[in-house]
Amino acid sequence: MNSVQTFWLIVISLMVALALSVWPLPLELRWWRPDWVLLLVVFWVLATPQHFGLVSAWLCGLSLDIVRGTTLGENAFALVIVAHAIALNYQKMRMDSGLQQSAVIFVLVCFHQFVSMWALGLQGVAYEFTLHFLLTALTTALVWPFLRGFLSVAHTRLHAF
Amino acid sequence: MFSLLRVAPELVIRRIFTNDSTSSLRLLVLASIALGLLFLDQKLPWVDAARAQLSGLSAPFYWVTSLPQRVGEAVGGSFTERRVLHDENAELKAKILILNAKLQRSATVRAENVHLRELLNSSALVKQSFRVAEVVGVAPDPNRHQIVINMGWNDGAYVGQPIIDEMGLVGQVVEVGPLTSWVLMLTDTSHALSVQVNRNGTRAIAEGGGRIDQLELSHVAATVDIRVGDLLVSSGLEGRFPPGYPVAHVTEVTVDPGKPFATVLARPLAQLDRSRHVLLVFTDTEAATALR
Repeated sequence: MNSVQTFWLIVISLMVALALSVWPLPLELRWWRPDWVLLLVVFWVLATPQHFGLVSAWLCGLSLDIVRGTTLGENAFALVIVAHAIALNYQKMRMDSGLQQSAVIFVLVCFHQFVSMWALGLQGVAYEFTLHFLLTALTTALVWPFLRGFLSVAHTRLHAF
Repeated sequence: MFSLLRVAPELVIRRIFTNDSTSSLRLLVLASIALGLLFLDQKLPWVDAARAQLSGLSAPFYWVTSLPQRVGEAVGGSFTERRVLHDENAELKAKILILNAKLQRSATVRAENVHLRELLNSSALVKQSFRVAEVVGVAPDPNRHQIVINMGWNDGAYVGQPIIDEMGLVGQVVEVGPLTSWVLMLTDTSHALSVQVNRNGTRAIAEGGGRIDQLELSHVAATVDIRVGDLLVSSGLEGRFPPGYPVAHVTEVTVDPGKPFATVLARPLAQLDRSRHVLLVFTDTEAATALR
C-alpha cells in the first residue's frame, strides 16, 4: 500500500516539477530557474532508493526532454548519472548537513548544465559560453533545503496513514 | 532529516552487502540508450517522427503554465471600467476607418501591380492566408530562442511554415505536434534568412546571434550601400519565407578598413519577446498556379 502511495507522490511531484521547468519567465530571469527535476531525482533516490532507481531517473529525464523540447536523451543521460552518483552514496549523504547536501547539488547541477551545453553543441547551435549556469546551480542549491523539507513531510505524512 | 523516513533495517543491510554490478550494468545500458538517442537524433528520421508524436504529451504542461496569464487577461477584461472600454472602442473604430481607407487605395494599387507584372512578364504574386495562434510557452533554455504556439498539425501547421506578428517576421515552425508547435525565432543562433534592403534591393543574409534584439548581416562588402535606418525585408530567395515581409531596421553599420566585410547590425521589428499572438502564414499554392 505504501509503495502505491509513494508512486503517486513521485508522479505528482514530477508533474509539478515539469510544469515549473517550462513556466514562462522573462529572458533575463531564465538562468535563475532552479533545476527542479534534478532536485526531484536527488530527493527520491535519497528517500527511497528501493522504489526510485536509475530507470525512474532515466524516465524523469526523458519526460523533461519531451516537455522542454530538447534533444531526446539529453536530460535522460545527465539524470541517470546523477541518480547513480546519489545511489552509490545515499547513506553517507543522508547524514550530511543541509549545507553539505546543497554543495553536492551545486556540483551536480553544473554537471547537468555541461551536458546540456554539450548537447547544444552536438546539434550545431553556436552558443556563447558564459558563466551564467552558475546562477542556476546557485538557486537550485538554495531551493534544496526547502524542497527536501516539504517533500519529506509529505512523504512521512503519507506513511503515517 | 531522512531518519524520519524509516527504512527497514534488513533492506539497508541488503543494500550494503549486495554487489553493485547489476546497478552498474543498468547505468551502462540506460546511459548508452540516452547517448544513442542524442547522436541519432539528426541521423534517423524515425527519431524525429517519435519526437513529434511525443511532443503531444507536452501540450498540457504549456496549457497549464500559460493559464495564469490567460486568466489574468480574462479577469482584467471583465473588470475594466465602462468608460475605458468605451474609449478603446472609439479608438479601434477610428483605426478601422483609417485602415479601410488605406485598403481602398490598396485595391487599385494591387490591380496596377498585377498589370505591370503582366507587362514585365514576371510571375504573379502568391496569395497568402493567415491564422492567428496564441503563444503558450517560451523555450526554458536561455540559449534557444524558441516559442511554443497552440497550433499543431491538426490546424494545418507544418515544419518550415513562416510565422509573423503585426510588426514583422517572427520565425519559422521547426517542430509540429498534434496540438502545439515549436517556432524558431529569427534571433536564434541557428537561424539565418535572406533579406534585402527595401530602399535599393541589396541582398544580404541576416543571422541570429542569440540576442533577442539583434540580427547580424553576414558578409556585407564594405562598399555596399546600407545605411542606418534602412528597412530590411525578406527576399524569399531561400525559398522558405514569402518575399516582402518586414524583418528589421538597420541600427549600426561599421566599416573597418582592416576587414573585408562591414559589420551591420539590425533590430528585428517583430516583438519577439512580447507578442502574445502570432500569425501562421499559409501560402495559397492553388491560387498561385491559377494566377499563372
